[in-house]
Amino acid sequence: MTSEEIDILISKYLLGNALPEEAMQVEEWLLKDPQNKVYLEQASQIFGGLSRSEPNALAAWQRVKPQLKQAKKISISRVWLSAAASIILLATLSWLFVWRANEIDEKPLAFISGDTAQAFALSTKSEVKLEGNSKLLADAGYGKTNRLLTLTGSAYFNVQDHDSLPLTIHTGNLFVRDIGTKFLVKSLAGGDTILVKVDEGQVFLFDSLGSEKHLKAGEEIKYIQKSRIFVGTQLIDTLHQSFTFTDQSLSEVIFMLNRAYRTHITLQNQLLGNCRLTARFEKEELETVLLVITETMNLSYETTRDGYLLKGEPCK
Amino acid sequence: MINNPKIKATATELERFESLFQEHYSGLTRYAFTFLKNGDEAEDMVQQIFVNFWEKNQWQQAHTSVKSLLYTAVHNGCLNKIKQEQVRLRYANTQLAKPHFNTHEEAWHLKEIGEEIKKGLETLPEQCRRIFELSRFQEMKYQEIANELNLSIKTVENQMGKALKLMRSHLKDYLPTLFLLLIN
Repeated sequence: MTSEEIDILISKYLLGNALPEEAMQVEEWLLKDPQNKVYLEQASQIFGGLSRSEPNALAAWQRVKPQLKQAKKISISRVWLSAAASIILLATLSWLFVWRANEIDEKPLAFISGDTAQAFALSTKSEVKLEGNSKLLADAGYGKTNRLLTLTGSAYFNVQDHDSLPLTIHTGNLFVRDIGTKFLVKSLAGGDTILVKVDEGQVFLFDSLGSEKHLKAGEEIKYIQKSRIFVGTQLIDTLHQSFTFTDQSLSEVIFMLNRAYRTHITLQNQLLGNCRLTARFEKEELETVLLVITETMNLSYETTRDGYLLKGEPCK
Repeated sequence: MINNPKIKATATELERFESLFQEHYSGLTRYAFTFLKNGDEAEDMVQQIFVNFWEKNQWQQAHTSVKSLLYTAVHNGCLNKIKQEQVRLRYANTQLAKPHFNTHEEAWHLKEIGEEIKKGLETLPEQCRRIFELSRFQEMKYQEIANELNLSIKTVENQMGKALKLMRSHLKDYLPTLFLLLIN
């Protein structure tokens, strides 16, 4: 890292703006050279952000350790009860294991597609179709402690079996938890953006920083990896979309804008809908589009509870 | 001689957990302090996170980086705490505004550096100074500053890095002395 990058990083850190990975970067940088700690201490005199006293890990461990033992003791005091329950449970689980072994193959999975799309069975009832040059790897505890699959690339999942362990797809910073469904997880823009589209059922999306979304059948969303935010597909599409209107009625224009921007533009006077517009908009915010339209047609607009209202005299 | 594999396993488990604790405790507490601005609360937060990790066995189950999970837990825990208790505001009015000094000499130097920080601020370019003041004295987050000044968050980050560089340069005669006072 350059000295400028270090200054940006530690300013952010000391002022309480650092993300977990940035805080880890600071700690790694501190370990590289004892002088770095001096630098950080000095910067904290300007920015604040560091405690005056260094935390004492040994003393802290003495406080934490008894709490850990207590947690273990609770389980020991229940040993006889647990033993009785275990016998019953063991018998049930043994039966379930035999049944499941026939039903679902829980061996660790690793699927890699070639240049073209390829379909694989995840179990007897579920399958995945990997797009070209994609990879799906199962976590080490797959089928035992989790059903976590790490996806590189894009894939379409058709999950029909229901398990106490939910199937979870990990891709980039995003986790997609299946709730019995058919869904697509697609990597866009070289992996910077992840598109999730649900055809049936629903999925639950979350990341390690607490962003989360529920997605139902017919819905799709994009997750921006760098900023770790979810963006509605329609919203992001307008930023990449061009509109060309050639002598089109304002009614038609509004119909298209309402669909693209997911808003509700209405006309104060329905006769305004007959006005004709010729214009081209490229990757514009809705407010900009409305401003151009109203300026061109000598109209005005105001915001309403669910969108916008266009006002003015009908065209002659 | 105890030859119970279960006891052995538990001892090893505890030792491994202690080693994880010793490795990350200081860094995590430092990180928590940057949000909470209170040493005791930062330590309590990190200790509780370790207890939770032990109880839920997360430190063994996680196949992704345990370190990353710990830092994420601290980040989320601190943000929740700030939201719930508004601790930042409380401590801004107590600890930060009224620091405790060990000696008259230290107090004198801190007063002096405070004045030098003020002088240094005046030398910063206008936008840089405005961002520094909003962040340092009004405790606004980068995103809040970006919204307030209609700037990108990247610009705020760059300007704060620049502020640090310029302020360090302005305070170069004071910072080493102050640091020595603080570590003694």
